[in-house]
Amino acid sequence: MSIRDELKQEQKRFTRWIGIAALGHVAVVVLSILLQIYWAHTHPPLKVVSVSLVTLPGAPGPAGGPASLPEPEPAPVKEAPEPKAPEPPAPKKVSEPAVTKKTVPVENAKAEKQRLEEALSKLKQKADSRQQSQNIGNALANLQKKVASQGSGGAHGSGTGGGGGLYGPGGGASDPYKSKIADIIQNNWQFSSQLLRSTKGMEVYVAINILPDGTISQIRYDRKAPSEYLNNSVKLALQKSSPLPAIPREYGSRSLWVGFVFTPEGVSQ
Amino acid sequence: MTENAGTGIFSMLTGSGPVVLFVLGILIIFSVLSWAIIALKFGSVRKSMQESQDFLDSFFDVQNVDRLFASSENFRNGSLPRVFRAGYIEYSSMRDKTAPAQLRERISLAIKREVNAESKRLTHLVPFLATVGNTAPFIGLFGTVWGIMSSFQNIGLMKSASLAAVAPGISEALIATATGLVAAIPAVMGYNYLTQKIGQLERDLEDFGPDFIDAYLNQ
Repeated sequence: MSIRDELKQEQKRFTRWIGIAALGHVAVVVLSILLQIYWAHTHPPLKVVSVSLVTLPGAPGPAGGPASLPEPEPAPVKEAPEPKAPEPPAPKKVSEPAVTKKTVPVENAKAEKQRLEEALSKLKQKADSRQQSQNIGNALANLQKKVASQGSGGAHGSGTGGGGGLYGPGGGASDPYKSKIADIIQNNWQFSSQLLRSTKGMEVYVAINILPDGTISQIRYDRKAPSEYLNNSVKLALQKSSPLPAIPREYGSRSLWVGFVFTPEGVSQ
Repeated sequence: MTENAGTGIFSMLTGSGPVVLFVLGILIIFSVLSWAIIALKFGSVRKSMQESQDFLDSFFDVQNVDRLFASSENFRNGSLPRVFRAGYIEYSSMRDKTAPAQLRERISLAIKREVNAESKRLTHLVPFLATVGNTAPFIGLFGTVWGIMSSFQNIGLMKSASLAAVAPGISEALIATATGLVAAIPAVMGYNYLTQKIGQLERDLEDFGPDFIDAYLNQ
């Protein structure tokens, strides 16, 4: 047998093996498809549960279902205005105790106003009698200023008092007693704003209940600051300030609720 | 590469792009050829080794070269009998057998030629297995890369990066790599096995060449 014949024979065998291999491949593919169909029949597909890995924990996930979606949405809307206008919500929270307490300063202011007006009329009479118009005019102006300042304080207090505002106007000391205790607390407050990362939103609304003898019986946080350092410093200042001066008789014999706003800038009523 | 493409092999193939299908076709052809070569060579090398061993047994038993040549006709597929026959034909064709040096040189040349021819015959088509083993994974990878490119384009068109949009395209693309590996793994295994066996045969041919020459000269 020549080499050429041998090569031809080998080519023939090779061709035959190619055919067998091709058939084998086709058989493997067909078998795998059949096996897959059989597997699909014997093992029905499991229920697919979609889990979103991106959604934040607080937000409603797909597991919660679409029905739960509208519910959480109003919640942030309600919460949103609170940081923007910090003062209005605070009085609302302390409405019940404040209404009863705030009536006392308003009545006191009215009484004081009456007294001042009486004093004014007396002074006018004296001025007429003595005809010292210049001095009387100065005195009248001073008294009017005093009355006006007290009147505006009372007006504001009653305004916020409608909502039960414990926290008076930020500026000005409308009430001598409150101003006095505010000074005491301010002096006892040990706080450094440099220890805060940011002063934004750093406000602590605190209402304290003062017994007639001046003892602070209760401290209530109407709103806390994000910084625990500030919150604790407020608590320490109030504890250190107790007992405060005794409540004047004008406020009555009952305990008094007073509200303070602690900010890194200082204490205000 | 639709979003609703199933997970079955057939649906994955129908969902694939033309480039991926072309790559898959090449890889399947490679696989078919590889298996054919493995089967062909496995049979021929095994037969050659078996017949060579049988011939060697008779070579050590029978000292007469004429009788050995007669028995070698029974082992036509064996490499060693082929080489022996080539040397014997050269030895028989020489009329002047009085010059041993010239005789040895001519016989050794004839044996060397036959060893080379036998080596060529044995290793024929085997390098293709190495080619498949080396290139098939890369060809499959190319198909995968192309498929992923297409699938990302589809993701862009769908304007969605969800798992449902990304996964089918990638799974269709990965079938090319899987096919490449299916073609390459048997090819590499077959190549290693065949080269090892052919290497053994070649060493036998080189070792027994001088023995054959001595057998002719001692006749």
